[in-house]
Amino acid sequence: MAQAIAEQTQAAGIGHEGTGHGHADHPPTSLGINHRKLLMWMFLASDCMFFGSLIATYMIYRGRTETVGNGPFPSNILDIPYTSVSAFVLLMSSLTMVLSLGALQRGDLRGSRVWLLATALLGTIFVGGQFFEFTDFYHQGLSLQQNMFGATFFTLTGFHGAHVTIGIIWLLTLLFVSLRGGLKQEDSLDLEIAGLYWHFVDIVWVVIFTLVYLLPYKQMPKEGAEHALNLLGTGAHIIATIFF
Amino acid sequence: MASIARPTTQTIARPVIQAPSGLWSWLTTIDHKRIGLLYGVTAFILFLVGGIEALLIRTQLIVPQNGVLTADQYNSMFTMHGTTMIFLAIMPLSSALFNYIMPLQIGARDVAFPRLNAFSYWVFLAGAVILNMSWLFGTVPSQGWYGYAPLTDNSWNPTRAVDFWMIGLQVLGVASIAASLNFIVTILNLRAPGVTMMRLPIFTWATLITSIMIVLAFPSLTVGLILLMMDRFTGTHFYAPAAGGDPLLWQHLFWIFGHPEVYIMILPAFGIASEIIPVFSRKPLFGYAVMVYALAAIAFLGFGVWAHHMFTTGLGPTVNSVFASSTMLIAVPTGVKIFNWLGTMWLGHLRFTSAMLFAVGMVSMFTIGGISGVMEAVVPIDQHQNDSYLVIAHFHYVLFGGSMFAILGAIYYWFPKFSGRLLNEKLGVWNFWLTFIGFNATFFPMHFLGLEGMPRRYYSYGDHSGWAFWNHIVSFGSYLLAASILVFLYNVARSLQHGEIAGDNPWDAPTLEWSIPSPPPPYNFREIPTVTHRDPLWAAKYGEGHAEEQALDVTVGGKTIARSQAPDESPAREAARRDPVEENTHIHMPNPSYYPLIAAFGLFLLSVGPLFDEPRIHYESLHLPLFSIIGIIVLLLGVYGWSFEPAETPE
Amino acid sequence: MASHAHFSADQELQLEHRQHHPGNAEYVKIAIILAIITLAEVVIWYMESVKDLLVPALIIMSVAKFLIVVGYFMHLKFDNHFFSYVFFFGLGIAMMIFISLGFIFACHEAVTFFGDLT
Repeated sequence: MAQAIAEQTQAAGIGHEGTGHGHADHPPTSLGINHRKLLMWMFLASDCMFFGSLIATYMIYRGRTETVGNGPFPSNILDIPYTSVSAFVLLMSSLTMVLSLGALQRGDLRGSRVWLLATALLGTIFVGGQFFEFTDFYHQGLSLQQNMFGATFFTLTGFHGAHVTIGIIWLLTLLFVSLRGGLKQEDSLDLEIAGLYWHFVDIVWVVIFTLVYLLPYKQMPKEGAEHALNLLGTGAHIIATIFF
Repeated sequence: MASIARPTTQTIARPVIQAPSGLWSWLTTIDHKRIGLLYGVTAFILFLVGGIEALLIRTQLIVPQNGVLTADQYNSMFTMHGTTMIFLAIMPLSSALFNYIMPLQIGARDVAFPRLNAFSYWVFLAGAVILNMSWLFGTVPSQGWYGYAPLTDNSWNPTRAVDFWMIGLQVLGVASIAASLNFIVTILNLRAPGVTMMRLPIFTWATLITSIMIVLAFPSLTVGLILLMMDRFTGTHFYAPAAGGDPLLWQHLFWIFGHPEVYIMILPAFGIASEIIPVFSRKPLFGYAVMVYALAAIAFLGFGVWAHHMFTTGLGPTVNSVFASSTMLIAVPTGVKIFNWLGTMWLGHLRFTSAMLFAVGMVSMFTIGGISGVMEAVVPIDQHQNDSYLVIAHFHYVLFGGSMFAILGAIYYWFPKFSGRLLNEKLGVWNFWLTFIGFNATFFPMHFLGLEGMPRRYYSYGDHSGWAFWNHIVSFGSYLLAASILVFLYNVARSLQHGEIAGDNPWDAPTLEWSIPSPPPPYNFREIPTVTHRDPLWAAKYGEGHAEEQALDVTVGGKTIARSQAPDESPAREAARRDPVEENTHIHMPNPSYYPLIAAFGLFLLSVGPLFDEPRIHYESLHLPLFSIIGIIVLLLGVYGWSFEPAETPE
Repeated sequence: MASHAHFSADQELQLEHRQHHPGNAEYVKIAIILAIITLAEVVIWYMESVKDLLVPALIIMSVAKFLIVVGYFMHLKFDNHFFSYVFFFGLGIAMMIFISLGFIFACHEAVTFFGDLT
């Protein structure tokens, strides 16, 4: 990595004068990339660890969600068609996001605002859908305290929902700024950075949708479960043997 | 959130000849040097607090069956001592040095996001206040700095003590991540022309790699604490085995953060030693590239060893063996660094100033701690030594003998740059030897106590345990250590008033921070320097081939030091630099801002809300903490004010 | 506001890259592909006949979606490669740690079932 950085620096062959926050006419940077965009990518790398920890917690407890405590359990409560629509909505909000950015980069302010509004709306539909899903589950008896499934499910999807909500507030703020005439073609980086965050929240949902909703919960027959565990354990053993 | 901002270059031409003074200027400062000083002073005060806690622990243990502290008070002392030293002393002291020194070493005028930097400091202060607020309410955390489940469970710890601890840590995590993101972008993007990555001083490399580790390690702690908050505030059972939870999950999440954290604390010390040793050996650092690769290797491997803290939890021999071997692997790059420092000193013209003494002390003491670390990586040995005083001895040798020695050395080394005056060398040497003897008297006998089976975290021990003798020695050693810190404080207080004037480059050091006046002007560099060599000032003074010429000895001490000047400047350039006439023609510095302070205060209110049963807003079954709601509003005000702060003052 | 005629280095780089950027039509195409994969995920979830392939198929499809969004919508494919290094380094460390963690818990449960493997 160090070498890559060094090469890039030489390729860029530039330094800087003074400090700036990365404006259209900010001083050149050592890597030739914008401060704020680099900061956002760093933050997303860090957020990978955040969601990684949450998803790992879910997956570790996944085996116990079917067996420990009282129901409702995932297989009798998760509504795949409903969530598929939610996932689709969030995926499409990523499309409207890039369309909004593309419009702004071309100088099409009106198009940019329309697609920005559409993105925020799709996001709101997603969060609203999640709100109804949570309410529905709660009425079916699933709560944070009910069983491990409730605790892990609400925590993971809840924190994702919180990320989406922050994203919506961010997008609406940009929309407000745009309507006041403050988001012009040369400010497209502001929108691009918000977009990076938005797409990241979207890909986290891609992962959650698969791991939480789609991967089958139907309890494996006891022998099957033992077989799987045995395979994992043996695999670990083989790897350790190779090491030594 | 900060990036909601409309682009705010905030460049405004204004007189920058003299730094503004007064309380308001410190509250609104976004100057990396002032923020560094704020970090340093705050952290050193907290270091003293943690030290007093340690002295109370040692006073309790000085004789068998002592009654200075009750068992509960003792638990609180070791919990707060550990938490304070790690999160409120060593990390922020390193952060202070990162803030002050790193931008100077890369030839920058400030960090990439000056306001975010101020925000990091204020949030750190908020976290420190939250943690120590627990003293005022009589609910001091007592579950240990590692906070193992189920000790943190509501049923075992029904008071607010754990809440103060977990919320304090959560807030400190925000501060650390924000600061680290800022440092990374600064180092990658704000290097002066010619400062390629492989010309960065090793201290700056250590800053970069430490920051990367913080950014990737802290989220795991954040999630661990979030699950703990869910358990304590909402009644989930993530860590409660009876309901299907698993206390081991906490240990995993904690140590996935906690082991990188160990390197987060020691890598800055490696960076500091790599700065000091070449200067006082009068030789360039031996094996620069290997030093960089070793830092990176330690950091990378540091993410893959966490379960060695859990050898006695029954992970099974397979997992234990994998983690034991990965742990031993880390000894390789670490050993490489130690040999490189020795190689630097080899045939050098050594000058044992206080800074050098501390740096060499760090290398030797860290080596002892490192070797006992490798011992503990052996699973059967670890199972024997686990939770004994041997472990205490080991990690104090790396944290005090490593990190704190280096930080004290760094203060001796860079104090002239901070203050314009040298610390007193005579007192410094006294300081070092007192620290060295006190440290070894305190921590070396702990090895014996551990092997004799004295368990850690016990508030007392029996008359016939046979541990009394070494405990006397240990406690007296700790008083000696305290005395050495008093000598240090006296030295700082005295030298601030009466210390010798340092000049730009009192040590004839090679890095960029020594090319500018001490203390540096607000804008650091009047002209951004262009760098053509890894050790720019030596290259300028002694020529490109200086690496081969080792006879660079200069007279030491007294007035010679005081008269030395930046060697890379021609007299004309030197005169131009001192000439204030053109001062504000082309140096654009960002405005001070109070929004980071407001945002941090909002975060503080938001965080303390759940700690109090009143005032709350009661709505059906919900009891929303009023402070948190106000906090969210203040935070939003701060963030929006920050984002919409005028980009430029109309011309 | 300062003049916008002057472009900084990174904007020049971006302009250069922008020539290879997908246009709206391509973005819509990509979105359709994403929608089709999502549909396929749901359909395969209902199909009894592919039961054995269900888990690998789902994982492959979500990885594909992930990479498409990251590569095209987040511009990693066209942007400065440094951003890719940053993101995939963080992602890689996270995956390394958490896959091992899953493995450790699986091992742990295997040990509980069968006693020591050694």
